[in-house]
This record gives sequence, C-alpha cells and structure tokens, in this order.
Amino acid sequence: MKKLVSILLLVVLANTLIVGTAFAVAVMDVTTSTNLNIRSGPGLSYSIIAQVNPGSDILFYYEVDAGVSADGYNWRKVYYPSAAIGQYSSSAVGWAAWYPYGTGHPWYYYYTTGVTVISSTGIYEYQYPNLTSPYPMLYNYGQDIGGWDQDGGLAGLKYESGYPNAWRLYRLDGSYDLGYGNGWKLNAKDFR
Amino acid sequence: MFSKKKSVCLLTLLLAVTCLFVYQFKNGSTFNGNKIAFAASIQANNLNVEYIKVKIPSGYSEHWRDIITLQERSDTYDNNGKLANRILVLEKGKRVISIGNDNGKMEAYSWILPDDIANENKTLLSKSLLENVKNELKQSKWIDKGKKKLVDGREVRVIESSFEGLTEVVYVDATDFPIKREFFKNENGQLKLLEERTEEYKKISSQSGEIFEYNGPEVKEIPAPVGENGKG
Repeated sequence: MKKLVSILLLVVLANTLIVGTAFAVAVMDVTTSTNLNIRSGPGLSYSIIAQVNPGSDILFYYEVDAGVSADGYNWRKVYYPSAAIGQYSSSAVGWAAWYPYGTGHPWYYYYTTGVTVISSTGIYEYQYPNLTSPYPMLYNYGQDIGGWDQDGGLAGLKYESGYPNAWRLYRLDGSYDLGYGNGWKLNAKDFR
Repeated sequence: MFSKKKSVCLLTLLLAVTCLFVYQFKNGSTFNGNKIAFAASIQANNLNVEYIKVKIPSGYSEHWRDIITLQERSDTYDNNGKLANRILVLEKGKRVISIGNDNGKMEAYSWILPDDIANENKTLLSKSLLENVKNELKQSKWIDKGKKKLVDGREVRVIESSFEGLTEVVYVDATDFPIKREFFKNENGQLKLLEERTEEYKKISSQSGEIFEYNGPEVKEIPAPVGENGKG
C-alpha cells in the first residue's frame, strides 16, 4: 500500500513538474464590434486570409513576443478558429492587429481568465496536453471553470505551447485541480 | 509658324500620349506613374519577387510577394528548421492555401475568399512590402540615436521608439532597411532585453513562379473562415 502511494505521489509530482516547466501561451477574447481581419503578415499591406467574429477566441502564437509595429498598429501572430477545420490548428494561423498606437487605445482582443463549457455533452478534463487520460469528472454545459496560471497575474487562461487545444484549467471554487480542457469545446471569458 | 516636319512630329507625339491614356483607362486602371515605374524597374532587373526574412528566438519566418503576378507566400519555421505553417495567397488574392504542421502531422486546407475581400487583396498584392518597411521607419515616433559600427564592420543608423513600457531599437543599414531589432521591457526603471530579431529584405528573381507552386499534403477544400465564431 505504502509503495502504491509513493508511486502515485511520484506520478503526480512528475506531472506537476512537466506542466510547470512547459511553456504556456495566452488565450484571448476578440473585443471588437465588427469582424477582426486575419492577415498573411503583420501590416495593413498584407492579404486578408480570414475574419473572426467579435467574441471569438484567438490564441497568441508565441509565448514571448513583442509583436510587430506596422501601419500604426501592434500586430500579433495568432491561431484563429475555423469551423471547417474543427479545432485550433497550425493550418489556421495568421496576423491580427492587437491595438492601435496612441493614448487610451482600444484593445482588439484581450486576456481571459477562465472558460464556459459550450459543448452540449460537457467536457472531461485531461491529464496530458495531447488530451489523453481523462479524469473521471465531467464538466457540464454552461459551467464556468477558471484558467490555471502558474505565474498568477493578468493572463489567467493559457494553452500548452504546441497544443493549442489544451487549455489549462483550474476550478473557480478554489479546490485544486490542474488539468487540460479541450479549448474547442470552451468559450474563453474574462471573469474579473 | 511650324515647319511641316515639326508639325508631323508634334502630331505623332500627341497621338502616342493619347493612345497611352486610352490604353490605361480601357484596362480599368488609373494612371499611376510611380507604380508603373516601380514595376518596370523590377521587371527590367528580373527581380520580380520581394523577399523578407525575420529571425526570432523561436525560429524564423520568410515572406515572398510577387507584385506583378499578385501572389504571396508566408512560411514559419521552428528552431530546428521544421516548417510550422505556410500560407499561400494565389489567384490575385482570391484563393488561400494554408498548411500546418501540428506535432509532425501535416495538413493543408484551401478556400476561396468572398469577392469583396478578394478585390481588396488584389489591390494590396500590388503594393510593395519593402517600400512599406522603409516608410514605417520614417514615422515621427522614431528617435534618431546616431550611428553605430557593428562587429562585422558595417555602419548602421540606430533609431528608437517607446510605447507602453516597451522600447524598440532598430538598426538600419545603408540600404535603409532594418537588419536588427531589439525590444526592451522597462522594469523598475531598468531596460531588460525581451527579444532580439535579425531581418533581411531584398528583391529576388523567380521567373518560373516556383516559389508560389503548391508542394505539400493533399489539400482539403473548405469554406472560407470569414464572419463566423468558428467553434460549435
């Protein structure tokens, strides 16, 4: 029995260390009142390749990134949602203006702190970012879940670098529960 | 007043100019001397494609644009030189092919953009990205920080701009293109290097258009991801 507990503790510790050392990148919510253009490069001279609706969730592509300043805007490379592809994918990546330069500028998309389940069948939480080994607990449609951020601070909801559908979750009630939810079945929100 | 010979010359010249204007408007384009001169200079040198390479800590990106055939391609590679994604904009801005590499699995999708976006792209693709980069560095936000000699002996102009706690320093070479860019974060009055990039800008020749030829996994045709929430 003691041996089993020790092994389990080691597994939990290893999992925590793996998660703790991996890169995590912010999940953002589109805050524009009209569609946001996604372009082939950072600037207004690049082609428009897609458009996302207000309220859509887009993901920063790089963890550390100062962006590109061009044509009066700061630009970021992002993953964008495409219903036909059916998940966040490197096939749906482009550049979006984040904010125009100037005092009191608006944000075209902003950090989020948690999610609401939008899948009618609910979601499971997974142990690994490739969304395998689900925990037995099911989160129901409409349920709110917090984003788990090891650094704390502003950017609460993040995905695991290289796995744009693996969003790190933490229960809003404060009970410790670290795992990954399938971001495609979740709607990112700012609960602050 | 004029000799017969001079009158014939004048008439010929007038006719030639009229023909040029008629040709321009018949083809639905407006007369833009600068644009025509720029396109002509590119064709004359066979340097028909604009090329941009930006190296960042996590890899590098390359971008090609042919302002004559109105096509572009954008690639992103990771630090091991593996392709992460590629975007091709073809058919004068109407068609997009997007290839993605997710943990070794390559997939490709293609879509046709709505007419209004395709028409806007057609206009955008005729613009020079290289000229745009140069113009960006002429904005009033840049402060001249003098000249500096790099370790390779090149003399560069250093300009700087700050916004929202971030300071961007750009090293501009004799061709007026940036070759290096540094980003500093202001932390308690101290500037901490956040990111460093090297950049390359040039015109290259690709007469056969092979740069824009598709070469990858089987392409799945999908509706354009335009005006949707995506999920659901």
